[in-house]
Order: sequence, then C-alpha cells, then structure tokens
Amino acid sequence: MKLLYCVTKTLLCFIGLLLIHVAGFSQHINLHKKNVQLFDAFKSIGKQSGYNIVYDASLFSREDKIDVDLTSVSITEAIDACLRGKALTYRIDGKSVVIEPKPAGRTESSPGPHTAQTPRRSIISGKVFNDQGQPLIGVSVIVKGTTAGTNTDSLGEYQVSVPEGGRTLVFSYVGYEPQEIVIGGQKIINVALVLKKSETNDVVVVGYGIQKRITTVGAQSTVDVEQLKQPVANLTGLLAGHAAGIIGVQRSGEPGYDNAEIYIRGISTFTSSSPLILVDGVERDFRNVDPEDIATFSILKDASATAVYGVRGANGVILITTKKGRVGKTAINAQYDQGVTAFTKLPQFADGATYLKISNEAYKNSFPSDPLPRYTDGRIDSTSKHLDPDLNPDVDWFDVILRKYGHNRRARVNVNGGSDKAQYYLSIGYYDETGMFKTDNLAKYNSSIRFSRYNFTSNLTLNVTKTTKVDFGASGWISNGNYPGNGTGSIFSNAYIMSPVTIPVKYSNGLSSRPRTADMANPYASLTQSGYATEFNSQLWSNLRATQNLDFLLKGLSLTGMFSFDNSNRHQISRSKSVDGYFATGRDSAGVLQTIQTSIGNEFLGYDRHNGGSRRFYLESAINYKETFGRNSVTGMILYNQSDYVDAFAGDFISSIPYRYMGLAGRATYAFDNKYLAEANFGYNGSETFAPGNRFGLFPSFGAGWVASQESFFDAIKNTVSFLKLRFTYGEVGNSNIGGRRFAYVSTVAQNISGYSYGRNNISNDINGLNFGEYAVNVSWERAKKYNLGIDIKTFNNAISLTVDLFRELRRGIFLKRGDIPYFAGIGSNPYGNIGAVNNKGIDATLDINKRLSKDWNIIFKGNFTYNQPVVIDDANAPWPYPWQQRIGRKLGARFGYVALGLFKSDQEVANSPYQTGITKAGDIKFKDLTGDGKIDANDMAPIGYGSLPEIVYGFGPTVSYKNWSLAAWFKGIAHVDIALSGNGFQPFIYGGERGNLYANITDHWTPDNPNPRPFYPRLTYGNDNMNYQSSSWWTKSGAFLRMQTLELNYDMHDKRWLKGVGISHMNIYFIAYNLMTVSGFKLWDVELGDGNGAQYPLLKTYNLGARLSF
Amino acid sequence: MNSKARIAANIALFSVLFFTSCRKYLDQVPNDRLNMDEVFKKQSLSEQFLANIYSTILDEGDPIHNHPFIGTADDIDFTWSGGGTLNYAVNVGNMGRANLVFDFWQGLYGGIRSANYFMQHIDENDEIRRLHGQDMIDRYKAEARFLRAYFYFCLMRQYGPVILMGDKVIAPDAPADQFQLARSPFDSCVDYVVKELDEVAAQLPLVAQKDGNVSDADYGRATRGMALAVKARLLLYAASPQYNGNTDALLANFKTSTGAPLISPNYDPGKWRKAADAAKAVIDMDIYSLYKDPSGDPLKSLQGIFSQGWNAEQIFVRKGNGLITWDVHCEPRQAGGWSGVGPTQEMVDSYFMSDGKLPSESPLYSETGFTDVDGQQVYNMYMNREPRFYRDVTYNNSIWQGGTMSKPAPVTFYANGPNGRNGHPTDWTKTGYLCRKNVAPQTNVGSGGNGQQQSRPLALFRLGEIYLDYAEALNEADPGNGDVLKYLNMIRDRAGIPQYGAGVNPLPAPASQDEMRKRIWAERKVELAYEGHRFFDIRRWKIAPQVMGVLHGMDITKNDNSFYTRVPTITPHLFLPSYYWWPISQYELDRDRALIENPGY
Repeated sequence: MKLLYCVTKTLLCFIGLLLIHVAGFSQHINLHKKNVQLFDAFKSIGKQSGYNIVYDASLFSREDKIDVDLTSVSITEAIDACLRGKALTYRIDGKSVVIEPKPAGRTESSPGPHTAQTPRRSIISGKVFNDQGQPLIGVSVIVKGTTAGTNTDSLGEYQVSVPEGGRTLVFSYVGYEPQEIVIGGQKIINVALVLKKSETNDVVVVGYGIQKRITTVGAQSTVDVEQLKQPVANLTGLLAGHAAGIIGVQRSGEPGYDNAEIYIRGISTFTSSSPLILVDGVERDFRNVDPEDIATFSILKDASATAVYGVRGANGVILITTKKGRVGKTAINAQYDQGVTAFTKLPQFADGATYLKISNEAYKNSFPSDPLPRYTDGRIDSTSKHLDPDLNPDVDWFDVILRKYGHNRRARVNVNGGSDKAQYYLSIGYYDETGMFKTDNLAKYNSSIRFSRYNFTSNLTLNVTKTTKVDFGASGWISNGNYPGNGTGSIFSNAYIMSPVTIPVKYSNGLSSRPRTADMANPYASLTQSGYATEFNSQLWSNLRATQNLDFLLKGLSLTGMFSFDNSNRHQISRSKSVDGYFATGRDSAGVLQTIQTSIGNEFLGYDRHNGGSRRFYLESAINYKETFGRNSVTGMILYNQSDYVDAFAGDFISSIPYRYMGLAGRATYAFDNKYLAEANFGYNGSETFAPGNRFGLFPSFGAGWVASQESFFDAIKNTVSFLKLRFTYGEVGNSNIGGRRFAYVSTVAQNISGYSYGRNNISNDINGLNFGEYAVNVSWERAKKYNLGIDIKTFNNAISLTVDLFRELRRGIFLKRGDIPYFAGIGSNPYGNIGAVNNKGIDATLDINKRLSKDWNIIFKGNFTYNQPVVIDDANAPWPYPWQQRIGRKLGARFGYVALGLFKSDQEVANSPYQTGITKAGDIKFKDLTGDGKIDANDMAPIGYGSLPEIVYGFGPTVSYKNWSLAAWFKGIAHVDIALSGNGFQPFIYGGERGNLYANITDHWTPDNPNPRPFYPRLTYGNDNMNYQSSSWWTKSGAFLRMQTLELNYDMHDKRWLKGVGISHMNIYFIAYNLMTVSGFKLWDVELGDGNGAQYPLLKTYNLGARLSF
Repeated sequence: MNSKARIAANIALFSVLFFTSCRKYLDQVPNDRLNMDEVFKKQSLSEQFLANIYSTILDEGDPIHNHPFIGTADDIDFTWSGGGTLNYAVNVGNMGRANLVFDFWQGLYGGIRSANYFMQHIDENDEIRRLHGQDMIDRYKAEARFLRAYFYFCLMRQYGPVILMGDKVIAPDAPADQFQLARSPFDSCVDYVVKELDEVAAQLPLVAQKDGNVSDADYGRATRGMALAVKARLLLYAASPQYNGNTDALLANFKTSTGAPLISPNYDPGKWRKAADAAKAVIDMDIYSLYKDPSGDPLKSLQGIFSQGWNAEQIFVRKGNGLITWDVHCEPRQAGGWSGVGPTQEMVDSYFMSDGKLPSESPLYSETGFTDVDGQQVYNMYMNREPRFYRDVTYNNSIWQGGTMSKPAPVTFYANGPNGRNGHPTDWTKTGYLCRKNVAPQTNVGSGGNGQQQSRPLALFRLGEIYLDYAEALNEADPGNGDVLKYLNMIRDRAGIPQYGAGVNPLPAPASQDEMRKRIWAERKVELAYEGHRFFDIRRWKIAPQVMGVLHGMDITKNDNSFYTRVPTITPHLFLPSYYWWPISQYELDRDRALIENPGY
C-alpha cells in the first residue's frame, strides 16, 4: 500500500479543481526545466516537497509555460519562482500550498465567487474517516468554487471558514474518492471517504510489482478483502464465487482439514493444476492467513500477468499482500465474534424396520430359491416397536455420533500507525472451532474435535534515509487440533457401513457392541472409545526487503532486494485405544443376554507420533525503472530470484533433496497518454527437477491495450460510456509442478516390494523384492500458450463497471505416463513423457454496480462469472475402438459410463435385449448397446456427464445500506457439474447382508407391484450380481447448486459521545450467517461434497454475532 | 557518503546473486544413487530382483481374495456375495472384459519381463562370480527361466493361447507398433513352454543347494522336479479335450490372422503319450514319495500332506502364503471363524465309503437314520465314509476343535445354531458344510481370536497329483497298461480305502478304458479337492456345463432333522459358454490390435 503513495499521479481535471497529492519528503527541491507547463512544475515540486499543491484549474491554462532553474531550494522559493510575473499568490496551510489569485489592487468590476468583497464567512468543522472508521489525516477540504480550504489534522478533524456563497465542501484525499457535501445549514460535517476506484489513480498488484490499473493490459481480478472476513478458519473455501476466474469446490468441512480445491480458470492439465500462491512475494500456503491481515488479494490469470513466473506461472498466480502501517496516529482495531455452527446437510438413513423390510425384498430377489425371508416378521415388528433393543437394534448412527451444533469464535486486535520515518502494523488473532462429534462422559480424555489457531502479523517499514526504505515482516500462526483417536474418515465410513439393525449403540449390560465382521466397527465406540489425537502446527514467515531509490543515478531508477525465511512444524500425537467388542446371540431361559466376544481391545492408550516440517529460503533482487516523459510513461524491471525448499521430514531419498528453482524475470511497459499501451514480460527459469541441459526455459509474453475512452472522438458519448478499454495479451508460461515424479531423468529402483520366502527347518530366508521403479526419461515442463482478450467498460457515470475476459489456453507437453503400452509388455510403470495436450477456453466477467440512491441509501451489487471448458487434445492413450469412447476432443475430466435407457419392464424384454452380465431381470437398468453387437461391455461406455469439477462458477451479492445500517448477501453457485453415486451406504447391500446403511430414499425403488419407470433405485438385490451399479448415466446426478454463502447485517456507530467516553471512535456490530441455505436438485448429502457416497464431514453453516471497534 | 556505500553494497549483492553459478545450484541428484546397473553388480540386490520374480508365483493359499480356482467350480460355495468376494461375481455370470475379476494377465507378464531382464543381465554380476562362481549365476539364470515358463503355464491355463515373448524385453519407449503382437496357437505355446522346461530341468538342481551343498536356506527355489511337474500338468491339460480336438462351434473364429486355429480341432492321441511320459519322468526322479504318517493312521497321513511342511510329497512349494486367511474363513463361527467356505453336496456325495465304493454303489451308505457317535446324533449319510471325507468336511454334529474353542465340541449348522444363518448377517455357510481340508485349527485370528497363526508352506504341486496325472494320461495313451492301476491304487492305499484288484478287500479292477477313466476322475475329484484342480479339470474334460449350475446343500433354514434334505444352494454357480477361458481385458485389446478376445466375451 505504501507504494500507492509513491506512484506518480496523473493530472485529473475534476469539477474545475486540480489536485495533486504527493508524498515524497525532500526538503531540497531541484527543478531544471525550460518551457515547462506550470502544472507540471507544480507536480514536480509537490512530489519532491511532500506538499499538496492546491489550485483552481481556471487560474491558468495548459499553455502557461515557464522556465525554472532551481537547485536545492525550499518550497517557498520554488513556488515563488513558478509564480513570478503571474497574478497569483499562495498561502501555506499545513502540508498544503494553496495557489490563489493575487488580491486585486483595484475593485473588481465583476466579482467572482473567489474574490468577493467583505466576505461573510461561516465556520464549518468536522471529522473525516475512512470506511473503517479511522480518522484520515491531511484530507484536503475545499469550499467548492473558491480557494478557501484546509486539511484535516492528526485527529482527522478540520475547521474551515466558508466564504459567502460557498455551498459545497469538497473532500479529497489520495487514494480515496473525492466527496462533495452540500453545506446547507450544517455546522458540523463528518465525512467517511471511500477508497478510490478511479481508473487513473488506482493501482493493481502484478507479478513482482504494482501497475496503474489504467495501463494494465493483463487479466487480473481482485478479491474484495472485506468479503473474505467470514467466520471460517480456512480462506480457501471462500475464493470460488468471489473472483472471476476461480473454479473451486470444497469437499470437507472438518475443522483443520477443510481445504478447498482452487483452480484459476479451471483445469488445463492432467497434472497439478494448483495455482502458484504467493504471500508477500513468497510461495506460501494462505489457508490459515487471517483475512483481517490481508491488504490485497489478486488473481493473475493470463500470460502477461504470469509470464514473469516462468515455469511456475502456467496455472495462474494468487498474490496476497499483508497490511502495512500507515503514517498517522496510532489506530487500534479490535474485533470479537462468536457463533454456532451446524452441518449444512446430513444424510438421512432408513430406520431399522425399513432396513429389514427392504433387506427381505432384496434378498428374495437375489436368492429366490431360499424359502425363508431374510428377517422374520417378528423381528421387523420388534424392531419397529423397539422391543428388546439389545437384540432388535434400531440405531440412527449419525444421530448417535454427531451433535446438532458446534461453535466458533474469533478475536483479533491490530494496531497501525507511524511517522514519516517508520510505520508499523501489528496484529494478533485468535480463532477456535469445535467440531460436532459427540463425546462419552466415561472417557477421561477429550476426544472432541477442536481446532484453535493464533495468528500474528507484524509489518514494519523504515525509511532509513530519504532514499532507502527497509520493510520487515514477520508473521505466522500456531494451530492446535484435537481429534478422536480414529480419523474422521474412518468414523464416517463406520457409520456408513454399520446398518441400523446390526448392533445397538451399546448393550444394556454395559458391554460395547461390535459385530463379528472384522472391518465393521461400532461407530460410537470408534468415536468415543478410541483415544484421542492432537495436532500442533506452527508456521513462521519472515521477510526483509530493502529498497534503494537511485534517482541520483538515473531518474526513476530503484533497486530492491529481499530475503525471506519460512519455517513450518507439525506434530501429531495419537493416543489410541480400542474396547473389547461383544455381540449378542440371544437370551437364555432366564432372560439374561448371551454375548460372544467379537474383538479384543487395548484398554490402555497407545502412543504414536508423526512429525513434519519444512523450511524455505527465498532471495530476490530487482532493478526497477519508472519514468514519465511528457505523455510517455515507461517502466522496466529486471529481477532475479531463487528459492530453496526442504521437506525436513522427507520420507525418502528423492523427496529429501531440496526443491529449488532460480530465474530471471523482466518487464517493460509503455503507455502513451494513458491511451495506447504496450507491455512485454519474460521469465527465464530453471528448475532442479529436469535434466541438465533441459532445465532452463524462456517464457515471453506480450500485451497491448487501447483506452478508447481517452480518445477525443469518445467525448461525445463519454456521458454514457465513461470508460472503455480493450486489452489483448499473448504469451507462453510453464508448469514445472508436474507431479508424479521428481527427477524424471534418472531411473529409480523400487525397493522393499514383494519378495519371497525360502528356507526349511526353521530357517527363515525372506528376501525383499526389488524391481524397476520408474524409467528414466528426458522430460521438461509443460508449456502453455495463453491468449486473453479483455474489455473494461464503465457506464452510467461510473455506477456500473464491467470487465469481461475471453481466454484460451493451449497446454502442451503435459507430463503424462504413456498409456498405449499393453500389459503383456510387462512394463510395470509406464514411462512418463511430455505428451499430453489440452485446449482450455472460457470467459470470465466481473460486474460492479455502485449506486448512491440518496443521502441515506446506497446500493452495491457485485457479481462475477467464470466459465471454462478444457478439451483434451492428446491424452497419450491408445485410440479407443469406437468414436463415443474417445477422450480426445472431449472435455478433460468428462465422465464416461453406460448410457441408461431406463428399467427393463419385463423379463421378456431382458431376453430380447442386448446381453448384460450377471443376473438381469425386470426392474434392472437397461443400457444402450452403442456398438450394436448384442452385448453390453466396455465398448458401450460413452460420455455421460460433465465431471466432478464445475464448468461454471459464479457469485453475486447485493449490499444495501441505509444510514448506519447495511445488509449484504453473497450467493455462490456452480453449474455444469455432476455427481456420480457409488460406494458403501449408497449402493444397497453392496456387500450382501447387513453391511452398509440405506439412504432414507430407499423406499423409492422398483418393485413388480410398483413398476415406476423412473424410481431412484432399480430392482434391489443382494451383492454384486448384475450391472445395476456400474458407472452409468442412471447414477450421474446434477451437482449444480446455488448457495447463500453469507448474509450479513451491520450497524455502524461512530462519533457517538458515549463511545468517545470509553475511547472508542467507531463501532460496528454485525451478524453473519454463513452457508445459510443451498438450493440444489441433489438431496442425499451436501451437494458440494461431490462424488461417492457422501461419507465426508459435511460443510458447516455458521451464525456469528460480533463487533468491531476502533480506538 | 554513507548511503552511497550502502547502495554499492546492494549492487554488489545483486551482482553476486545474479551471477551465482546456476548449474551448481540446481545440480542436486547424487551420482551414487541406486540404479539398475548397480543392482546387477551386487549379489544381494540381484537376489532381491530374483525374489521379486519369485513373488509373481500366485499365492493360491487364499482363494477368497487371491484367485478364482476354488469356489467357482462345483467344489465350494463361498457364502459371501459382497463386492469383495469376486468369486460371487463369477458364479452369477457378472464377469466380462468390462468387469474384470481376478485378471492375472498383467502380473504374470510382468514376471515374464523381469525374468527376461534378469537372464540378460545376471552375467554382469562379478560379485556373485567372485564369491560363488559362475555356477550360482547359471543356477539363478535357470531359476528365472523356470519361473518364466511357469508364468506362461499360469497364463495358458487361464487364458488359453498366449502371446509368446521369447527373450524379448521391449523398451518402454518403443513405438506403439512394436507392441502389436498376436497370440500363438495353443499347441505352439505348449511346445515353447515344454522345450523351455526340458532345457531348464537339465540345469536345475535336484534339491535346493548352494555352493554345491544341499542348502536348507534355499528350499523353495526352483528345482528339476518343479520344472518336470509343471511340464507334466501342462501336457496333461494340453492332451485333454479342451485343447485336443476341440471342435466347439464357439471356436470357429478363434484363429490367428493367417487363419490357423488357435485351439487345435484335430485330436492327437500322441499328446496323451507325451503327458504320460512327462508325469512318469517326475515319478522316475525317485526323490518324491507320498506322505505317510509314521503311526500308519490314514487320517494323519492325509492331514500331514499339508501340515507337514516340505515333506517328500511336496514338489513345488510356496512358503509365504495366505493359508491363514483360508483357515479363518473355513473355521466355524463358534471358533471365531468366518464360517463361509462350504463344500457342496455334490462334493460330499463324491467321497468314497470306507469300503472304497462310491455311495451310490456301497451298502454302507444310507440317507436315513442317525448313529450315536460319542453322544452326538450323526446323520447316517456321514457314517462309514472314507478318511478323506473326515479330513475334508465339517458336517452337522461333527466334532471340531480349533480357533477360540478351548475343547472339542460338535459343530451344527441349524438355522438358530451358533453357526446358523439366523445368528449373523453374512457369515454362515449356505451348504450346511464347512471345509476343513488344510485348515490349521491353531489359527485363531478371527473374531475374538488371539491372533495366533499357524503358517505353513503351501504345496502348489505334489506327487499325489502327478500319480493321478500319470494314471489319467496313460489310460488314454495306453489303456490297460498296468501302471494306470498301480498309481491309482497308491493314492487309494494312502487314503486308507481298498484298492482296485489289489491289497486287502480289493474292489474289482475297472473293466474298460471308459470305466477306468470314470474311476480316475472320481479319485481325482476327491484326492485333489479344494486344491484348485477341479476348476481346470471340469473345463479340460469339458464337463463344466453339466456339473455346474444349481448346486446343492443341506436345508440350512431348518432347526430339526428336516435339515438333512438336499436343497439347491442359494447362490447358483453359472457356467457361461465363454467361461472356458478368462476374458482378455478391453484395455489390452485397445492397445494391441493384433490381440483377439477369447470366444464368447
């Protein structure tokens, strides 16, 4: 943010006033220019002196030119020199120089507003805040149409005397939108300024630097940091739907394990599509960053934005910067909130009696020769009446293991401020969340899920000399997790596998119940009697950057160097145990429960430990150049960096080798009159993972832009379309994060694989096996050619702004295993090669509407939309025999399976239809015989769905504010996505017998009496005896949804006397509901969890109430 | 000036970083890491490579999870129908090239490639040569060659004609057209494998040895007897109707690209002669003998075949195996077992009576009434049977001890009994019997078990089979040859039942070649029960369509003596026309266009 202040400002003619805000701090002004425009001279002086030079644009014209020859003069001398011979004078007011016409020596014949005689002045005072409620210092307050004005003081307060006729105050501050307030009869006017969105002064974060938004040609989007401040621990789940270009889904809500998948513009490769994520310039995992500490959050999407990252940039880049201190009085912000959490949706299972009835039906279908039903009517009756639950259990396992509500809370405090010499930002945050597993009072230990985290951030900026700046940042987090001894995955899967009728939660005689089947554990025992596990993570990030201004060598030149060191640690300790399990076989004549022991437990806690950790060194140094020559703006950059990352607890030799890369990056931009833009970038990188000679690659990119609205011919429609920019970029970027295999250029030997035992007479001669691991191949990174065509448009007086980007990416050389080698060759692990290719096309768009309806009412609407479709060009596989099987030319990740035609209506129809393996009868799924060969086999599999990753992700939300109230909602949706159902708990009787729950919708199935042509389930059978549960279009369901992700109500208070009394300048009370509701056609489980049987920890909804305070 | 100095330092730092040697920074992989060249320089590493080839030998100890050769014939009904029990999918016909079950094609060919690679490179191992001489290199090479031949045999028994790779090791980066290889006619495959086995038999030692001495530590490595035994079984299969003069209509298009039949439609009696000679060659080695317990108790002899590891009957032994799993799945629930390996009534009816006759012929057989045996009411069907029956089958009210049982107790399969269908969702035999052949009662790893395992070597080939191979082949090649009866009778003698035309209480010798064939088949069904032979025998004899289908067991829905009623088992054991061989996967067909699918898939 600091850099924002240093960016050269372009002159803006705005309602008759020209404002220049600069913040350099030279006491010695140097200016040697001939025939320079007066306002250019002012600009230069202002920049060097740090003074705001304020004047009425009508005082002089563009053609007013002067010669100046100043060396090391003071501000007054400089201004004197400029105004020499002109009918102008000035006064210095704080840090502002106000240029005024010289008082006339004679009476003005036609009095202008600023030369009114015998002015009747009134005094207006007030305070200026930013949108956070913090006082703004040095805000220029000008009476519109006059030269009267002042600046706010160090408390953000001002007092201005308004000449007669002054009707409006204009508040302006660098980086903020100017605001005009009609004085009316007010004596006190308090103003909150909002951050500037103006295209000329706004800057965007780009790779290794910042650029003025107007001159940027790349495709970037920014996430509104405010929208990330949700009551969730993990930031990754918030991105999808909050920025154009992000495709993402969250597959688990388990505290501490709830990372979402995020892809920028979708997936373009068969290997890792994860974007490069940089926090303060260093590759870092951002999931645990406290959103309150984030200053900017940018997403770089196209080649011009990412080429500087070379081999790391192809999947897009996310840049996050943390907050830095601002010059000014110390500002303290504090926040606390607390909430309850609940699952968005829990699967509903069939009850015991239903389970038994359905079992009987399925059993009869599979084994018609068995004369007996699977369960007697007596058993069903007893179960439904809950008679003797020891022997007739009826358990809803989710109800048993899960609570209805958990809770979370957040607290944080940050402090920022500073002087010219030093600025600081310090923050500390706390988050905790309690999971929804139940605990048993009998256990002495705590096995509930609890996740807590402490964040700290400190950023320090020191202006060591007038030209040297040092930034130091240290931040990190500590997290503690507490979990049951068994993993969440196994507890959920136990609950999915255990039917409601097999065992009770525990027997009435106190014994722990467990069936005989070895891999079916009592879900309740495995949750509450399995011990506990703790997990401790800590992360420390540190970076030190020095920036040296080299203006004395060449104007606009600077040098910067950075060193960073990151360290992370992870300790997991599990103390697990298990209980003896018993299974009831009946009651004896006296009615005493008879049990057999079915498992032997460990009644004492065991001990198991896992450690992890890593460290990274990163070095960067760069030369930057930036200068404006008249209407020509030029920037340049050359940067060198290198990184060394070590997995401190690597499990094998190869992964213990440091992960390194090094490279050069460069950028040159040129802008003419902010109208014609050109840009070239390059990255030249080397990665250690490739063969010597194949390690370095050059990745160039080029971009051009045209700000049409700057053209004079545009003036005619400028009132309707205030801004219009067209951009095009092309470039090549690489992806060295190809996964699969490091150092593919060396062969490996697979050790400790299957061996053989020899030896008799008690001689053990067991020899471990060894064989080829991976074959050596000379491979390199993937290469992406990226095209981007973008348009930015603003209409209706800037109330509506729209950005649309069309993109295409051709990814070649994708690191894939050869897929065309038959098994008989005996090659265990097929060799890799740069052989895959994918063409990804799409569009993303951002819409902002910001309309102040009246003094009290304001409406903001934001929306974004991303669509992409990657198409396989080469998947390195053998060609498929039939066209419908081809993956090439189809969407990457598309689902394949049988095409369901419906259900067989009769056994006669089965006999007359193509042969399907297994025992097929009426009510079974009938598949389409695409080959027409009379049988259904692998050749009949065709595309049946989009796949598990959505093609469309969108988000939108209105914010309505009225006076101090504001109500904001945010909706997120995905579309063109589907869910394939499979697995335990979903597929009825997948293992035969009492294994696997049944969803409550099991009653919706085909029976001869109810031959519904489109029930949820086909004819039910025991086990795997026909093709019903093969992957097919029958089981592919739409995964689209629209979620109300947040609903937030805010009430703002500032400048209240009672608040001031306790030292609070500003207070905001809010209520946030997160994941409040979801609209989807998919009903079995939270639709975002995706494929399979839904046996994941569901996502959470939370309701939080809290307050933010500023002191 | 101070700041100028700092600037200079900054520039210097920048330059140093910039010009740091890139090469060194990124060169990190050490040269002395393990690679294949190194493997063939060191003895222990080469031996590990060889051990991995050995590990390709299918572990047939655990048919529930590892292979389909038990439980998908008419021998056993595994009770489980769930996704993990693949035999069930085969039995209900739910197997095809899109629904692969127990597909060993890839694994076996992987072993073949490794063996080829080993043979090509083991000569490079100067360390072995220096320490143990060329002999050990030659022997290891012969072991790899034997294994290669055995893997081909395993492929052929399951898939029929196969692709012969010879000594070829196709490079992984070879172009796709080098992978377009076709299958050779079955007879050519047999010729190749037999030639290999003949040659390698001459190189292999009689017993495991090291440096010229018999070595206990090397037992389990390939021997001459193993090579000859594999050859004997292969030639027996090749001489059988499935491969010898098979004119089934389904095979009409099962031909090479040049039109040659992959399975010969012409009957060649000479094949039986070759098979007989091959079996005789194993017998004539004279180092193997039928296992007999010193006590002379036939039951103990019969159990000892399997429980006495490395005994002289065992020819080809896999020491490490999954027999523990077999034990647990066979043990009744009341012993902590899974209670799900049920011999069929068809098998029960195949065991001889103690007088050596089949139940259908013997006056001792009765399906009415009960006999009190140590206080247990035993159905007369189970009385007076041959020792192999009592070794192999746990029937209602038979006495058993093992697993978690602390003392012998009767085992029942009544619906409400401790092992019955009403006591557990899935773990109950659907035939009313449990298998106890080669079940180690000490094994105690089921529910509530203490984890004790009785591991023991698994005999993949044993002399008893070779005797029956010989008798069967000789009866076809030279009916009436005295050896036919001689070796058949040796099996019966050890089983403790009267012989045909010899010994005490002899039965009449079979009068004709046909009659003899029936007797040999009957003997084979019982002697080799649950050892994975029946699966192949019913195919090569082409009787599978007749014997498969609806199988039977006792009526497990009952709690009284109506239990003793033959009823169809709940799960059918279908035999589809395609089931003579396994399907070649679609994956393979797509990558090798010269490969054709097996008939019927």
